[in-house]
Amino acid sequence: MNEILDGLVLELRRGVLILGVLSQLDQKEYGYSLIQKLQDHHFEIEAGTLYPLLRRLEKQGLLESSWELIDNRQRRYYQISEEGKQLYTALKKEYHSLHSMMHQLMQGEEQ
Amino acid sequence: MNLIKIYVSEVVKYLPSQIKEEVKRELTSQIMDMVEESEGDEKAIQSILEVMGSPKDLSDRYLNKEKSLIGPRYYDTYIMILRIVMFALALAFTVIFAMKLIFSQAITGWTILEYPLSLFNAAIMGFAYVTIIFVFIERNQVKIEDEDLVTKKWSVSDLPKESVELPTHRLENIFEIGFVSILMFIINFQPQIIGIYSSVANGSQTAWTVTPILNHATRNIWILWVNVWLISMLISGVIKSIYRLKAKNRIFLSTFFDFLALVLFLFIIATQNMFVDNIAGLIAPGNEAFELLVNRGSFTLLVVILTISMFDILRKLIKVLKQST
Repeated sequence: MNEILDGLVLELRRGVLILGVLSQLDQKEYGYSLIQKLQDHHFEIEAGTLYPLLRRLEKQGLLESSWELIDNRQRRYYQISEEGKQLYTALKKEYHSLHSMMHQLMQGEEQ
Repeated sequence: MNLIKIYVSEVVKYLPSQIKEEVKRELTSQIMDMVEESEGDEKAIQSILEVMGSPKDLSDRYLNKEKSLIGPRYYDTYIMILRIVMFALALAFTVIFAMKLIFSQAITGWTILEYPLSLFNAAIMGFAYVTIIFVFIERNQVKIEDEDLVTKKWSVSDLPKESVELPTHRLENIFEIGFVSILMFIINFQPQIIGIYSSVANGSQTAWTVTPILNHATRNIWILWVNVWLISMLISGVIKSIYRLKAKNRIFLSTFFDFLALVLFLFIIATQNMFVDNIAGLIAPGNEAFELLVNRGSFTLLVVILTISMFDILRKLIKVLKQST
């Protein structure tokens, strides 16, 4: 039972992963700082999942990236692109509508 | 730090050269950030790398690669065909074993032991063939569907003008796959049982002699082509069983493999010296009437097989052409 629940929770989280990542990239962040930022909001994501995802989103044109030397360290910084912002707004709208629909569905079930 | 270098090298090892250096640089920097946050000793590095996951898994995520060899679309059919092949093999080898017990002059321990050993060998070979065929279908079909999705959106007008039935029934496919599997494993493992069986009365006992039809002296030459021919037929049978393939593609592909099988069959008959010369003479020496009967009979059988195959291929091609226009 727990195994099934874990799998389903994982599926749910996977669905909102990109939304969570895009929401935190208004300002430029490097990989590890983004993980920490997400964790501050109790959004757990593994480094092995996030790093390839950042590259993929950049390839799709949703993020922009640049190498910068800060505090004597070379890091790749990511930030949401104009195209990414548009997609994020649309995705957020879809999420809210889905959330309210699910809320209604489940409330009906509880009554 | 050496551990990080090794880990990153293992990850990028599987990546295409265009992104290798970039990922190497970025991943190293990202891991270094994580190390800096921890105590930075060897143990901390180890636990960070363990959290990152195996290099192969991480590499797959960079490639965004599908991991399944045979995806859910074909999995059920794959299992079904694997069962048919395994059942056919078990059946064939049980019959062969029973025949050996009946026709052997002396039953040794080896005769008994040969049965499970041959069956095991054949099962591994059958499993490998079926899996390879499905991997081929899976990889190609995924590509075709992806191209369709990219180029245009599906609409009802894309449906064919009339429904196209499967060229053969499922039961026929089961028999076809089973028959080809049995033939394949008899030719590879027990070719000596293909022959003409005759009995000679020896006092109160009957002794059985087998006159082989296949030419064992040239086996090394023809065995490769015969296997290619049988695999073509097996692929055709498997394709016909995959219901979810688009009808036109399915008929076209199976027709192609049928045609290939026919060409290979003709090639083998014409050039490979697969059968023993003058088989009638070996069975009944000096009986010219019998020799003539066997020669004409085998020629007639060949013509009948060719005619049926050509007719079947043409029928399917016409169906494909009708659907295209």
